[in-house]
Amino acid sequence: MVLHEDAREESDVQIIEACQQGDSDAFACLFEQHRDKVYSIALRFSGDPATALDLAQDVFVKLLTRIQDFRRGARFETWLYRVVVNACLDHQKRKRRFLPFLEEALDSVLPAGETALSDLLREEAQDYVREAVAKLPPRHRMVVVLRYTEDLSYEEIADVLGCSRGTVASRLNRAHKILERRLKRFGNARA
Amino acid sequence: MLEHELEAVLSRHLGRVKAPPELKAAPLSAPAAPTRRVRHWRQPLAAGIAAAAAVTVFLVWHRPPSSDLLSTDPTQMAAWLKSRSFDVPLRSDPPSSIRLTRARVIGTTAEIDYRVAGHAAVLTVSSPSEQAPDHGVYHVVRSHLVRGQLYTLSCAFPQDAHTACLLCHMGAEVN
Repeated sequence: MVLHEDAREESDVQIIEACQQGDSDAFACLFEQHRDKVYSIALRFSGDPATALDLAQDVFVKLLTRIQDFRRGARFETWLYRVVVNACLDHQKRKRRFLPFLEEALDSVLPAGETALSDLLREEAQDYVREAVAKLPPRHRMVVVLRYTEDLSYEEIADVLGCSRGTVASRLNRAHKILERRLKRFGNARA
Repeated sequence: MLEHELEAVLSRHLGRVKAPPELKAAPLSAPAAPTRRVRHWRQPLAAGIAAAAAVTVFLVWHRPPSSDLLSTDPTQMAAWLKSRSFDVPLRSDPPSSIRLTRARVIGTTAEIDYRVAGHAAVLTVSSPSEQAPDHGVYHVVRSHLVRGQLYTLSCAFPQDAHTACLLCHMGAEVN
């Protein structure tokens, strides 16, 4: 298993070095290896396929233009995760300039079982879970996505986000509490 | 709902998905206009981004090929750089805390990767008219012009700045 992992990392290094030398086949290979991962994080974070496509496209353009900055010895996956995380959080910041606090305001004003929220509650559980995640505050949402979409450990998430393990645990705990409340509300409405 | 139940629900519903086929064309060929429906106020912005991406992709793929030298020998590295028109005054006997790893020439820029007390550092030599190099998480600790060449020193840890200068300078020369 360790040998397999070492071989994979060595292969990654060779591909990245070829990319740094302008090899388009190598970049295509890198793209194929990571396209599902990048798109999944963007989709789970944004909750919207068109936005996720924009974000994933943005990430791969950044990857292409900044691959020279990647240094041998660093973990490529961690570097890639950082590029994806920054693209998602930057997108969120831009979006908030146009729609300040609207979603949160609606969420807190509308009581369960009424009007728009009632419509929401009629949707399938799967959609509801994803929507509940998409409404989490961005930094909490990112921790949830890295944990449950990418199955990263607390330490790996801390490394990607540049924060402590304790901060990761705290954000995840807070996110769990919010999600639990929202999913319970959904369960009650369905009962 | 118990904690482990919530975790199971999240793992089940937030798993990885397959990226749509449209993603492939986007970054590799950067279409001038997106094929999917775009809200009217976003169209000029989207077209601008796509055009910028196309120019960037073109410039990256058409830049001159880079070449590398993997070496720990300062004399060999200086000679290799000189043969590529970069006269970099590397010390032939740097302190033991400095270990060279690689030299690289990309177009009109040379980069010298080395370790300072085990930490990464990179010296970039470029034309003064070029934009200062961006090495991501590295810190630019020195930047000066010598004989028409811009020397930019970046370190993973800023506290290595003084020792990093000893790649070219004697201790007394570093202020």
